[in-house]
Parts: sequence; C-alpha cells; structure tokens
Amino acid sequence: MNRRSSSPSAGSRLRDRRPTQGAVVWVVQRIASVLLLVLVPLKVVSGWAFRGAVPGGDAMSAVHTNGAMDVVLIAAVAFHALFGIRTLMIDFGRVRAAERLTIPFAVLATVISVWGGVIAL
Amino acid sequence: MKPVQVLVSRFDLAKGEHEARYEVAPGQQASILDLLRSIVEGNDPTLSFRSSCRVGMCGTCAVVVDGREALACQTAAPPPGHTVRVGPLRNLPVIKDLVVDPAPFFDRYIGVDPAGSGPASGQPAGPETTGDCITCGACLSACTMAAINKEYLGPAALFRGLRLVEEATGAEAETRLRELADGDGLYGCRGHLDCLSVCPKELALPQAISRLKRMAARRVWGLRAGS
Repeated sequence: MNRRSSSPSAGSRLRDRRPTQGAVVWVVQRIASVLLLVLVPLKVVSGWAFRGAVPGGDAMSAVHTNGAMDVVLIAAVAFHALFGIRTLMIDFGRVRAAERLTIPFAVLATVISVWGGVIAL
Repeated sequence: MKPVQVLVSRFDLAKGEHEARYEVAPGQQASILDLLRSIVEGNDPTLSFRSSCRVGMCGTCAVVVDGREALACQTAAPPPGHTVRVGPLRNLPVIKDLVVDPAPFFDRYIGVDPAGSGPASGQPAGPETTGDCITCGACLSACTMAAINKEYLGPAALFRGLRLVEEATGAEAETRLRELADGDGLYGCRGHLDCLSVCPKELALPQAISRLKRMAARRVWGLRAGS
C-alpha cells in the first residue's frame, strides 16, 4: 500500500545543482590564476625594491618578506599547476587518469601549501 | 517488510513545486521505475513520468536518482526501510513532475547536423565513438557547463558531431569541424567530467569531446585533421 504526504516547495531541492568535483577544480584553478596574476608581479617588483633597484622603501621590502603572501603564492602555484596538469591530461584524452588523479592532486597541492606555511610563517 | 520511502519532486503549473513522500512496498529486484509505477497504481494516479521499453534501450525514463542521472528502469530500488529521492532531469524545462521537455536537448543534438544529412550510423573510427547514443539526456542534465552556457552543445551532441566528422571526408569534414568549433559550441566544455559516468550506455563522452578539441586545434594550426 502506498501512502503520501507533501512538503510544499521542497521539490526545488532536487533540481538545485550541487558543485561537482570538476566544477570545484575549475573554480579553484581560476581563482589561483587571478591570485598569480597579482602576486607574481608584486613579488618580483617588491624584490627589486628590496634590493634597491626600484623605489619603494621599507613598505615594499615588507611586502617582499611577508610570510603570508608567500604561503598564498605557493598555494596558488601548487593548485594552478596541478589542476593544469589534470586539464592537459583531459585535453590529450587521458580522461580516466585525470579523474582518478583529481583528489591526489588536491591533496598534494594542500600538502605543498601547508609545507610552505610551516617554512614561511 | 518495511516500505521504501520515495521522495518525488512534483511540479505542475497550478501548484508549483513541492516534494511528495510515498511509502512503497518494493517487490523483489524492483527498479526505481517499478516504485514509480507502484505509486501510480496505488493511491496517486496523478504522478507523471515517462517510460517505454523498460530494458534500458530507449532512454525515455531518465531521471535524477539521489542527485545522479540514471535510467529509472535500470536503477535498483533501495532496500526496504531506506529512502530514495527522485527528480526530473536538470537543464531541461519541467512540464509536469518527472516529465521534462526534451526540446533543448534535441535542438542541440540536431543542431550539429542542420543540413540533415542523416544520422551518424556508420562504423566508429575510433574508441571515442564506439557505441550508440540513446538520447536519454542524462549527460546534458549532469553537465554544469550546459547549465551555465546555453551556446554549449553538450556531450551527446558533440559525440554525434565527432561521429559525423569521422564519417565525412575532405571539405565536408572541415566544414563540420569548423561549425562545431564555432563559438562556445565545442569549447564551452571546461573538462569538468560531469558526463564521465552518467551515460547509461557508457559512451566515452569526455574522450570524444577532447578528440574534437584536438582535431579543431590541429585545423587552427594548419595541421591535418585527425586524432
């Protein structure tokens, strides 16, 4: 025998899309690319200021030796590069391997970031 | 025997969306489709869903079961006492309950061959195009990019597109490839791999899309079209 009860407007939950693994990878890689676009030039220019090659003084030198920036930079490089390898594998048809390596790549990028944090902070 | 709790996404224009809960006593080796039929044959004949062949050939009964696209007739019902949530395919407008309008899917599917030169029915030229699509729409439903980018053709249409490119020769192959690669039709795919494991026929959909991208890239760089 079948019985029925209803909960109004709950049905929309079924059609709501949760972020898939691939979507998360995609977003993380793009966030990392924006961070790299900002942080790499900042690191280079602040390095020049640190050596006195360009004006900037103590403020820019402080930026260059900022440990938190180093950690973010290392994390951005790690996630962007490893997820980039995943994308390349997909482009070259190694889809199953790319799928299997997604979690290991994320774990490796996290380990690299944590290691960077331990060293830099 | 404890009943199975079936949570079904209901929708109609008059009442809007809601989730209905049914208790169904499952038979042995029951499928999700059997549960839905039990509901209709029990106390709620107003529940709407599509089905036809019941053997996984037609793709008509594709739905979302516990958040994952599947053919209702090929998906086992949960054990007694468990709960299962059934909803309509995503990325397609809902007509009523589990019945969706497949027009956006077929617009894309037919769109890769607007000249109507016929279905891609020849022998596959590579492992990426082995197997036949049953046009169930599960891959389009699973695809995050299809939800975001309406220009993107989607996995099934691109699978068909690759088969058509493989079957064509010379200038026709070039024309087909150019049309597929135009705009976001092909490159709307961002490699999420959402379609990798939802196809009931286990077609190599992401592999086919990657191959099309490589072929299109070779054309851009003046290299011969091929794998």
